[in-house]
Amino acid sequence: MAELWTKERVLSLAPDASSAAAGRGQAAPGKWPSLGRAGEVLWGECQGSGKTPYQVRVDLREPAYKCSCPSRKFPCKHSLGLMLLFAEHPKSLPETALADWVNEWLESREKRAEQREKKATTEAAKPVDAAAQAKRSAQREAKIQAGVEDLGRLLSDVLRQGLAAAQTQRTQYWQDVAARLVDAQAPGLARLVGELGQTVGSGDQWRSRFLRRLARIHLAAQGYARLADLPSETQADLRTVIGWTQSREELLAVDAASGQWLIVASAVSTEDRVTAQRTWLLREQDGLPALVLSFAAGGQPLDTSLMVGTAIDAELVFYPSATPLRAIVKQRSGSPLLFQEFTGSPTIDAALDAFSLALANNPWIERWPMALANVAPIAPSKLGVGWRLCDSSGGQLPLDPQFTEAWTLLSISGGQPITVFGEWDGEQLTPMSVSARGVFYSCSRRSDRTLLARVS
Amino acid sequence: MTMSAPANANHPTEAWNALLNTAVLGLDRAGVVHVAAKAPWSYSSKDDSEDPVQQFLREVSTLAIYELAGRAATPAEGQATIEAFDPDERVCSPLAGRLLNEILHGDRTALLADWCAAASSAANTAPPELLPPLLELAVSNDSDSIRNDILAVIGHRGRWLAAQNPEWTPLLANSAADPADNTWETGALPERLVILRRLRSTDPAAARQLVVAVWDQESAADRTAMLEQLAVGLSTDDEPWLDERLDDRSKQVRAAAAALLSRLPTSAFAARMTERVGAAVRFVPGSGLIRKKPATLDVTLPEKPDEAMQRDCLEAKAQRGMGAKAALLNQIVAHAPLNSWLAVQGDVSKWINAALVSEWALPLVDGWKSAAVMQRDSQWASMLLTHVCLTTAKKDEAIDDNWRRAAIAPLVDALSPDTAQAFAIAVLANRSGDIPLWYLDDMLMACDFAWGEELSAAVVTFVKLRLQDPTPYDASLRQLISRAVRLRLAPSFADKVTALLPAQAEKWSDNLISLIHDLVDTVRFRSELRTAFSDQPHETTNRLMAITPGTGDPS
Repeated sequence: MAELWTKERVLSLAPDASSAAAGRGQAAPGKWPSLGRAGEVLWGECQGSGKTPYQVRVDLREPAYKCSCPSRKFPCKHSLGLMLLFAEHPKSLPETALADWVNEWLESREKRAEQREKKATTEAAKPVDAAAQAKRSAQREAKIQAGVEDLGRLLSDVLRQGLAAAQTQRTQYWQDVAARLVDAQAPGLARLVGELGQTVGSGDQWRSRFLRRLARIHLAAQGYARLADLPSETQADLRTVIGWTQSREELLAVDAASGQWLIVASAVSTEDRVTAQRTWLLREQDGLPALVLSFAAGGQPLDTSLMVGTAIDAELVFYPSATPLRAIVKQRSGSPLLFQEFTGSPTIDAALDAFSLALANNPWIERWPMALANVAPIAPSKLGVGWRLCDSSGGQLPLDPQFTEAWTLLSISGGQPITVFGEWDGEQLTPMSVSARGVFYSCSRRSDRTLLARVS
Repeated sequence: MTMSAPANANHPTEAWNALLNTAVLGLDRAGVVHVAAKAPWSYSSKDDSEDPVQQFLREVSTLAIYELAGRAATPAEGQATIEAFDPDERVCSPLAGRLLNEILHGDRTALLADWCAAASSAANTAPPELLPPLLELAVSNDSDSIRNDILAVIGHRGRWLAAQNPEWTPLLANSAADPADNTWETGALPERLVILRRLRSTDPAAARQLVVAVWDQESAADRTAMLEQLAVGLSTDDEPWLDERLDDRSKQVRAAAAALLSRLPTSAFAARMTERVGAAVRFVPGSGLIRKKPATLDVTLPEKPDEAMQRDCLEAKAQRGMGAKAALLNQIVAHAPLNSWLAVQGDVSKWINAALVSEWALPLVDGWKSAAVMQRDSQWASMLLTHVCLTTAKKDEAIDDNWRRAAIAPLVDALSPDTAQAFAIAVLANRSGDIPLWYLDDMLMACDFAWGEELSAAVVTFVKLRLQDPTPYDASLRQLISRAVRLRLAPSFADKVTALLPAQAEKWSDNLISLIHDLVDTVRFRSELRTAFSDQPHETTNRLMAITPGTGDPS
């Protein structure tokens, strides 16, 4: 545990550089009138600028934080300071009985977890107002159906008039179509159409990419028209593409996949003022991938309980799909442990085969997790050939030209085999994490750029 | 209205390109395509009456997926390079790596030199993931010292990496020694000056030859800039050529040559200047036993500089508050070897005090200052600081406050670090109330080296005193802390600077609080940096393994 909670790890949890610096400033025992620890629960009172000290609580098992300060940063500088104290001067936090205000917090968290569980079981058992629900569903179905038909006509028109004509449309045109689909309660399709519009004129070979995207939307629209005839997993995939969401409570009732999960990569993207965090996990025993999404709007903090570079003993529930990837953490036990290595596909071809198989079951896959063992990056040697990964049989895979850390990847490798995890979009790989010579590196945002940095 | 199917319609890529062409034109114009119903990706519709556009869409959709799923790894176009690194090479500890990461990406580049110095003295290299930003910094920076600092810590891996990126490769070559490189002939002036300076530090004669070879075809401004670079590695070997430069058609060039020659005390130029000083200034010792009359100076100057004087860049032209004659004296003093004064009267302070009461105070003192800076003479520099800069100006004195303050930085800079340190400690210990505090700030700012324990203690006391002021904030103190104290204070003082923060900082402005926080943070960071290289376990470059067939395990 002491090995896990190093100063570096604590600082890596800081939401930004200024929080990290502020956290360091709080890590002086003199600032804390009271400090305590019970196992992996830390607490302390920190003297701020006001009269009453702030009450700071950290549960390292997740980690989870709670502080009475008004800061909107998460974790705040006091929580960071408390963890830094623990990392640097563990003796300053004496093992004692839980303070009341800490106990209250732990109990309220437990209660909330219980409520969630209870809600899930009661939801599942509850004899819902089937009639009302069916009515609501039917209303939405009808709206979506109309929207999908509308979209079908649009796709036909585009092809009749040709992509050359599509290029003359204003970008607003696609945004309007997307907005109509949002009104039709098909936000997933709306997003796909928005992306389609962005493809127009977007550099080299945009027409081919445009036609591919158009094809994907067409498949979704066609599939949705005969939804009832499809296997239930494909129905679920289609509903996801269209934009139906499944409640967490419904999922908790599904059987879980348990094991030791390596949290191998995480990336954050922002779309329409909503921040989305994709966190990739690999099951240690068999390399089974899982994707945990977290969304936040309006400056709300993202979930921080899954730390890249640590392994957790957990039960995951997958969303129903022909190619199950998206999951939620149903339950976890024990504390996170550091890992340095993960395994990957022995050859690039084997990884591509797995992707083909997945695509056959779910043609709407946008990002496919790919772990590749024994590969080395190769720098562009001539014009028109970009960065690639090369495996031991000489097979090569192109890297996304937008990936800015290729030189860092090459430096880490030094021309020797490394293990790379990344997202494959069908044409290019975006590396996210690397394991080399017993060291784990991962990409994370730092100020306004992505850096491939050492994690453990 | 029917388009014939392409020759090899069952090859997915060909088929895709055919569909794409049709889609670009538009179905209305291209006509309806008969799709290859027997292609593996097609699922034929029994319904012939189906809308042709729908048929086309279905073909596109299935082919797109078929083609995407059928991609295989492209065969090798180039081999991964396998390089054997020196197995003795030691990568720094993870903690040291994290600190370097913070320096490079956390806005602490001012501490890069410290990190590199600590790493090279421990024979450690930077971790692999930080080599690209280091190399980037090295190529984008004109400063030789930063470049050399970085090259000392990139190790074999860094050199291997730099060799693969055309933008970084120049770091590995000594451009002037490389016959294939023609930057010296064709490059822009700043690049050429870098080449000149670098060669000058390793082979001064060869560097001078570079300049000699191009001398006649360069503009006066470029000639001056090149001449100034000869300050690096200057020696008597340069004298004959420099002396000839006094006949250059450009006044700028002549002045630059004169400045260099004055730094060679055994040169004929210096001898000429010594002679002129002897002729111009006579020391008249003080007299009288009861009412002591101070020593004075007797100054005799020619009406007009003779031809030899003019050749040595001396002219009688009023400038900087000095009349024509005073300016001539000022130039003679500035270019004469400082030792020549001591042959007449061995006590520097007597010369200075006599000058201060004479009507020639400004040309003399200013000349000595220029000479002390140019000749890097610690004795004269510290005496000028003590007797002129760090004493209060008397009313109506020719040497005004502006001059005093402006002279502090160059004079401190002329001192060796040890002398400057001892000097600053003494000044802080004995400071009198009438010297403006910002004079002392300027002095400390000019002490551009790592401060020892004693000076650090004196500075902390000095800053603490300043902070006790009810409104302890002025621009000079802020500069002192952010540009000097933070970066130079002995790292062992981390805890002592923490104590600078008062228990109640209500009276302090936010700016001041964050300034002191930054001070504490930086000093603590530097103290961590020191320990990061001492007792941490090191990581050696691991065993090598072959990745491409045919390359054996080199280990």
